[in-house]
Order: sequence, then C-alpha cells, then structure tokens
Amino acid sequence: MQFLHQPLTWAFLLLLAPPLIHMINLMRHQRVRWAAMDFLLQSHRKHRNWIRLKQLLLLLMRMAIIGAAVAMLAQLVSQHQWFHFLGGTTVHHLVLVDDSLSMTDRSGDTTAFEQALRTVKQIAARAGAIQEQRQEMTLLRFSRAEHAPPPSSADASAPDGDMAEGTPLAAVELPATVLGRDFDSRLEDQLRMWEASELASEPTAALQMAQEIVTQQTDRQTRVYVLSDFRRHPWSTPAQLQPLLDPLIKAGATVHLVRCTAAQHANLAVTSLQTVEGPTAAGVPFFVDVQVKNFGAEVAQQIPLKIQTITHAAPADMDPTRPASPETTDLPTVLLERLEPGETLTRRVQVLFSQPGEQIIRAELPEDAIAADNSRMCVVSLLSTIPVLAIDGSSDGQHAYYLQSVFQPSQRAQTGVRVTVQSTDFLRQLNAADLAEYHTVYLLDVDRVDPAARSVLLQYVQQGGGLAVFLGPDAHLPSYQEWYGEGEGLFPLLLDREEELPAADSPTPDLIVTDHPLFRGLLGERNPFATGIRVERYMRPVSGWKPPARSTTQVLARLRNGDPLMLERRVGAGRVVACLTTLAPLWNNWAREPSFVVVMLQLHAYLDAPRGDIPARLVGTPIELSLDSTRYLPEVQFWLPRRLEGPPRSMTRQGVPVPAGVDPAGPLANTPSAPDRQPTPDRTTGSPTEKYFTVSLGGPRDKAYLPTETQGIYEARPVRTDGQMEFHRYALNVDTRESDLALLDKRELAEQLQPIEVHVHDPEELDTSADAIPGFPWSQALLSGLVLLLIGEQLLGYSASYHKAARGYDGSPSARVGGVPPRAASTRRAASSPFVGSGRGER
Amino acid sequence: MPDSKRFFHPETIRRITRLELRARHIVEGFLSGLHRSPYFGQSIEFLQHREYAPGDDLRHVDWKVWARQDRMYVKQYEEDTNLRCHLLVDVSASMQYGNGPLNKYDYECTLATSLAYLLLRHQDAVGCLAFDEQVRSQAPARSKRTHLETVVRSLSVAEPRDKTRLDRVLKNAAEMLPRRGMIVLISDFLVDLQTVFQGLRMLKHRGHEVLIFHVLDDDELDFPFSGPTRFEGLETVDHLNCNPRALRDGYLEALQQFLTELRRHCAQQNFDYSLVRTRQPLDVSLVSYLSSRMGTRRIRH
Repeated sequence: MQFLHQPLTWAFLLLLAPPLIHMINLMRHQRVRWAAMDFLLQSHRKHRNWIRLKQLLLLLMRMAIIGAAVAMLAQLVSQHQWFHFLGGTTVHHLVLVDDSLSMTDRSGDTTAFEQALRTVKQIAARAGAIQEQRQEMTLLRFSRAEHAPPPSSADASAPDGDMAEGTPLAAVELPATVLGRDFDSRLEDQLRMWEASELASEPTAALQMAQEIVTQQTDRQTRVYVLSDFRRHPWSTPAQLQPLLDPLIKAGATVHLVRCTAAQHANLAVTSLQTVEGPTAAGVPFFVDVQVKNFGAEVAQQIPLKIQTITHAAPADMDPTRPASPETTDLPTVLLERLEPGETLTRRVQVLFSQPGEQIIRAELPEDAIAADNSRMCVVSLLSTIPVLAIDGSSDGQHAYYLQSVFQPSQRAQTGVRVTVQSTDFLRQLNAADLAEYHTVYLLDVDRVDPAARSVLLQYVQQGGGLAVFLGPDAHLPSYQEWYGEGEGLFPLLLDREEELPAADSPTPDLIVTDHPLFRGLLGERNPFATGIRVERYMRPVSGWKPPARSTTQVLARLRNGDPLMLERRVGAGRVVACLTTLAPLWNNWAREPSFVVVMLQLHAYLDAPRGDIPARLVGTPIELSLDSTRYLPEVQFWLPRRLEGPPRSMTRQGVPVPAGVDPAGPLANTPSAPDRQPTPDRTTGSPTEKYFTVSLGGPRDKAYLPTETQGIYEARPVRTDGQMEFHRYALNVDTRESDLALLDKRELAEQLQPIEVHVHDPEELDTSADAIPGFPWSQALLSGLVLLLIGEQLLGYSASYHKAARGYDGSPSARVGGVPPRAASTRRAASSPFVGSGRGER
Repeated sequence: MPDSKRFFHPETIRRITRLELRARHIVEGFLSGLHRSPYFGQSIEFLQHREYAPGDDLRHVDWKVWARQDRMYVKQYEEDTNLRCHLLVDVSASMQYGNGPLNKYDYECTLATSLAYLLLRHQDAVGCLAFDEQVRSQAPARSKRTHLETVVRSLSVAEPRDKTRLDRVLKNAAEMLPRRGMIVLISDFLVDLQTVFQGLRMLKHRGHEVLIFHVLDDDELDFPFSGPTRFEGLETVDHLNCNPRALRDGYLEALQQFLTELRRHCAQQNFDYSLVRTRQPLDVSLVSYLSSRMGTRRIRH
C-alpha cells in the first residue's frame, strides 16, 4: 500500500481532530440551572447507552471521513489482490523495447530506437494522465531479457510476482513502478542511459519474460507493448511467436505492437572477413576474402570498400599498463561496381603484415542506415615462421628435399614455412612435447610407426595438429596395417600390398581428383597440370575396402584404376592426409610437375587450418580462456574496445579452477595459436585437470552485464608465472542477420500472428484509451465511499441530535406538548410585550 | 415596601376588563356580585318586573316603564352571589427559571394579580397564598378594590426559594379555607403528581372549585438547547452534562407523559386546567382560558 502524493499523508494527523474537538466541547459546555431535572434525568437514564454508542459511531465515522478524504487526495494505491475485488484496478503497462542492432536504423535525424524511447514516454504520459486507476509501468529490453541470468535454485523461494534481484525477472527495469509524480524524472533518467545495442536480440526471451510477469500478476490489467521495427526476421515466423503471445492474451493482457520505423532503408553490410587458407606468417602476403551484401531493396553502385591493416607491436614493446596503440594502414580501396538487392559480392584482398603476432584486418563500407554492420574485423595470428616437421625414412633424405624445395624454394621467395627434417629415429623416441611446436608433421616413407609414436601422433592430431603420411618402398606394411587398427587408428585405410599401375593407353590422367580444396588448381578436363602426373607404383588397399560407415575418412584422389591414392581422415580437431605413393619422384613424377608445389602448399594450408582457424565471434559471446595454473597467474586483465568518445576500458577477471573430471577446452583453447605456445599436457599420462583454470569475460559467471556487447577488438592479457605478459586479441563483430531491414507492414504483421488478436500501431496512432478496463476505479470507490460516509455521518448526526432543529417547527414534539402552541407561533402573534397579544383571541 | 405595580399591567387589564369570570357552579356569597345565585337580588342580569312596593329601593324602579304606563315597577334581577376566590401561587425555587422577559415566577404573579384585579372589580373576594414547602405569605379574601395591593404584597414578599410541597400546602389550604369557593392554583407542578392529586382531592372534597394554571417556561416545553450543556437542578443537587438534543425526545416524552397524567386527573376531578407558556402574552392566555370557560358554562346552562 502506498500513496502517489506522499506529502499529503501528513494530513492523516487530522484524524485526531474529531476526538480533540469532542474533548474540547466536553470542557466548554454551557451551564443551565434547570427546574425540570426529573424529566431530563429520566430521559438520560433511558437513552444513555444508545447515546454513547451513537456518539462513538459518529466519532469513528468522522475520523473515517477524514481518513478517506486524505487517502483519496493522496491517491491511495495498493497491490493487494482483494482491492481488486473491491473495485480498485491496477493497470500495468509492460513495455518491451527492441534494442537490437536493427533498431539503430537511421532515418533522417532519428533512429528507430529513439522513436521507441519517445513512444515509451508517450505511453507513460498518457497512462499518467489517467487518475481513476493506479498505473504501473515496467520496462524490459530485448537484449536484457535474452541475456538475463539463468534461473537459480533461489528463485523457487521467491514470492510470486516478485521481480527480485538475482532472478531472471531482475532484467526488467523500473519493475512495476507506479506512475506517480516523480516517475517522469525516473523514466527520463532511465531512458537517458539507454542506447541501442549491437546485439541480434530476438523477441522470444522478452515475450517469455512478459508471459511470466503477466501470469504471476493476476491482480492487474496488463497492457503489453512491443516497441520494435518488426523486421521480417524474426517476426515472419509465427510458429515461434504465437506460443509466446497466446498465453499473454489468455491471461487477460492486451498486446500492442508499435512499429517504430515506417520504411525499409538501403543498407549494405560486410558479412564476412576471413583469411584464405594458406600459410600466414609475418612478411608473407596472404589473402583475405571480404563479403559484402546488399540488404536494401535498391541497387547499390560504386561502393568503395576500405581495407585496413591494424598492426600491433611485438609483446616486448607493449606497455602492459596501457591499452594497445596499434598502427593502422589503409590498403587500396576496393570499388564494388554494382550490387543488386540481396546480392553478395566476395572480393579477395592481399594483405601483408611485417610484424608477427595477432594482427587485425578491418573492412569498412560507407555509412548507411545501420552503421555497425558497415565494418568488420578479423584477427590473424602471424608467426615469424611456421614450423613444420618432416621425418624422412629415406637414407638420402630425398623426400625431405622435395618438401623443402616447396616451402623454401629460395632465399627471396618465402612461404613462411620452416621445415625441420628428422630421421625415423626421432619417431621412435617421440613424445608429446616434441611435436607441440610444429603446425604439421610429414611422415615421408617411414618404415614403421611404433605404438608409442602412434599414441603421441594421435594426441597431436586430436589437438589440432596436421599429419601427412607419404608411403614408399621402405614402408613396412604390417606396421601400417596395425596403425589402421580396424578403422580405429590414425591411419585411414587398410593396406594390402605394393602395386604397380600399368601404363595407360588412353589419355586418361593417372590421378583423378575430387572437388577438394587440395586440388582446386587441378580441376578441369583440360587442365595440363593434372594430365602430366604419372604414377607408376603405389600401395594398394585390401580388396573391397571402403571407408567405414559414419567414418570421417574420405578419398581425395584416386588412380585411374579406381584405387584410392590420397585419403583424408579427421580425428579430433586435426586432420590426417595419407598419400599411398612417394613424395619424391620414385614411384611417380609428381614432384617434378608444377602442380606439386600448388598441391603441397594447399596441403599444408589444409592441415594447418584447424590450428590457425580463428572462429568468427559475435558481440555478446563471452571470451573464455582455459589456462594452466602452473604456468599462468589466475588474474587476467581484459582491455575492451573504446566506445564513442569514451575512455579506454579494462576489466580484470579472476580464474575459476576447473573441477576434477571436467575436460577443459585446453590451454588457450579460445585463443589463436601463440608463437611461444608450450606443449599441451599429456592427459593420457594422467595429468590432473585441477591444474587448469578458466577466465571468462562475460558468460554466466561474470557479474557484469554483458561486457562483450560492443563490436571491436578485445584483448586478454594473461601473465605467465615467469612474469611475461601475453596478448591475445579477439574480434567481435555484429550479427548480420540484423542487417536485413525488410519490414512487415501492419497488415502482414497482423496476418502472420493470426488468430492471435494483437493491436498493431504506428507510434502516432498509439491510443489505448479504447481498452476500457472493467471494474470500479479505486479512487472513484474512495470518493463514493466518502460520499456514503458523509451521508451516513449526517444521518447519524441527525439521529444523535447534533443538528440544530428549526425552532418551533410544526409537527415537532414540542408543538404537541401540553396542547399549547409552540412559542414561535405565539411570538409571531405577540407584540413587543409579553403581556399583550394582537387581540385575535379577544371576544 | 413592595411595589404594587410590579405585577400589574394596565394594558393587560384593559384587554380583559370586558370579560367576566364566572364560576362554573353557583356558589354562595355574601355580596351581590355578578355570579348567578338561586336567590333574587341585585344583579346585572334582568329577571322580571313587579309592582313597586313601599320600601323598595328607588334605584331599582324602572322609570322607562313608569314613563310609558305611569305605573311604577321595580326590576328584579337574578341575584349574583359573591365569589370567594383564593389564589394559591407557587413561589418555590423552580419558578425562578425563565429565559425570556419574565421568568415563571414573574409570569404567575402577573397572572395572579390580573385575576385578582378582575375579581375585585366585580366585587368578588380575593385572597392569596404564596407557598413553597409551606405557606409563605397569605392575604385574606376581601372584595374591596384596595385589597389588590394586599394581594400584590403577599406575592412580593415571597421570593422563590425552597422546594415545592404541594400536598402539605393544599392540605393547609383546605383547612384554612373551610368555606366553599374558588381556588386558583398557579404552579409549575414540578413535583410528585400523586402528592398534587392528593391535595387537590382534599380541596375538591371541601367543595371548592379549582382552577389550575400550569405555568411552564417555553424552554421547559420545547427544550431548545443545543451544544454541550451542564444542567443543574434548581430545587435539587442533581446535575447532568449532556448533549441536550440527544435527550430532547426523551425529555419531551417524559414531559408529555407528565402533562397527560395531570390533565387526565384534572378532567376526572372536573378541575379547570390551563397550561400557560411564559412567553405567551398574558392577555392571550387569559382570553383563551376565560373564553373556553364561558363556553363551557353556556353549554351547561
């Protein structure tokens, strides 16, 4: 119970007035010396109790009148349900505001989100003008509803309708706030802090929360307002929305959909920016693919696409206490000639970074309706050189020679790949730490692979390593057959014997490739690179061998006799490619063909892709690091992207130990590969998982609300136990689903949601006064009660003889007492003297 | 020295002079008055003529008949008896109440004086007894016009004070007034009615005609008080703090019951009863009462 006008509640002190006046009157009575005391005492004895009761009732009634009047003027309101049955009705305005990225759609000097804020004020102003009913308002943003904390066990004890802190409903703002005198200022303060997010928030979570609120608050008449732009996505999926809207209607709420934008505007967006597979090393140019899509309804022409490289200094040169200050370089602008509505164009751009480390590439379009999707960034992890291990089984190292000639053709031509050649003895003494630094491992005509080496290689591949196996005359078949292990091993097929490929009479090439990234350069009937390859010998699989069902093994290339020559198998995060002939030109001439270099570079890129693959991140997703507690301090500092004209922002997060039995994603699992990455702990040897801890920016464990909601580069700075700081960067981009500004018009929107009855408005049409709410207004009930109390007081006062009767009125008891005319009647006839009348009685 | 003009109001007297106070019953009297008597005598009402006889008073010769017939006749009148009227006036403390120009005491004294003047003018004998618990002062019945001052003096010396003891006073009166006559009792009768009835029965038993003037103040009849009031008894030590309007109905009901009982008893005993308000003009009260009284006589005769 509360009052809209709190200061007026002081007037309740007036309740003391009737008893005080009564007591004063008792003291200031007039004194009359009276003759007929017997009659008076007789009357007093007869009516004493009844008179006292009437006086008490009258006193209470007068106090009740004052109380009711003060309560009415102070606008008494109450949330108790039984007031509803007394006639008091509370109108709850539940306003759901779409603050997704599409609401930043700018038209002229305003955006859809600003229109939504104006509509919120408009709703509050109209509701506040209604005095007859108590008005409440609750605000809820789509983004807050979507990223509300999950329900905890404490919620079960929360009372119904209580939007308590810590519950999902804590995401609401101004929860059930009464529209009183100070509401406008509170609303203004609240809305001033609001800005449209860069998230791709959908209405689902907000509508679910609204449903929860409405079903809990059965004592209120709820009006649900959804202020959104109502894009085709997601509002054209009625199957998803109808189950959310229907309970609101059934719970008695009215649903008003307010369209905050009227027209679709032109919008281009950078939908993708990613590196092309290939070695990415400092000083080696590489390519990035940029995709631009036209989400508008009109053709876009002559679109300049700006590409920038943002180069950070080496970790040793960076100030650990300050945000990074990278150097930005503009690459030549790419001009997109013409982009049809809905069309996506891809442009490949060559990029070169001279500095190793995690560097940034940025693509930017000119400003249009939605600004955030005009730019996109990606992080590329560049190494000084890419270490590759080649274990050559030949005595003269001829296999490794050809491999080195691919990656290191000359001093001037660099691919960034550095090949380390080892003999098969290295393989026999292999352990996990030996392979950790290499991006790919090449087994070149290795005679046998021991079980210990197989285990190390299996773990290496599972953690994202790339393994290429080339067979040859030295290969010991039983060893490879064991490695196949009935399909469970790392080697992808079961070998049978060494086989010679008969010479062909037809022009059919020996090598028939599939549509695989490895052979992009060899595809086509007339491709001279493919036709020149001759294979003389190879290892033949057992007859009738096929890749097991549901296996990741696939054949990449076959010989013209149909036998597989190159196969791939994916194990864990890594890939294994097996080639059943030699790398050196012993059983084939491929190493002497131009296509060899192309395929080998593609093979390296393909095998290295999982390790160098930096997943695309969207704003709002948490950044989580799993670190080895023996090597990293538990406190990690994060630097966040600057907001417009805002200062640099940093947050520090403490690591949370990973409990035993939980498999961590691995050290720096979400981070790109670092040049100084240490060997992964050997879990097969039973390393305890308690030694890992996770540090998260955002996510359910983070108490701050969605720290990753801004597009840009986030930098994590874990500190090693030796005092060295690492710098890991993450590019968070907006979800381009929000770039599609296609609108549903009012008719389409209503049709989509049929048979659910919703009211679709434009902001200027929003007038909910037609939603007459049944029931007796509480303030009116107070007024009616006051009138009844006043009438009752008058009647009781008359009954208790507190009213002055007209003297000598006809029909009064006194007129009959003694049969003598009342005095007034007599005195009307009397002259000035009491002795003499007018003579009418004379005879 | 009491002021004989205190209770004498000339204008009132002028208005009631033309009226006749007649007893309902013919009573014996010493003096020829205006009251009818079974005996012939000197009276105002003509009865018959008879021839003059020596010794007859020449004042009764009808000279108009002598002038027409040259024979002397004397007029014979229905002889009026002398009225012996005693005014019993209550001068107890309760009569002190009054909120208007006159309190009950002043009003009843004026009423008594007016009646005395009227009676004396018609040569009736008027006596007066002022009483409260007992007879405080007394004026014997005389018919001389100068006796009015004696009556007034007897009223004036008796300032209201103690309680009323009507039974004792009426008993004393009955003993003091053995000869039949008219008793005019003027009081507010705020006493135990049974004692009043007892005394009145004694007067009735003595053959007196009893006229009762019940004098009450308008406040006592209307009870117009409002607001917190403390009532203190004039003849008792009782007091009451109350809201008068809340008790008004009960009070008027009790008063009505009291008056009804008094009126019923008077009717049974054939007493003339008149309730008089103190703010009612005195002439109106007298005219009203005397008119009704004369009307009653004419119906009977």
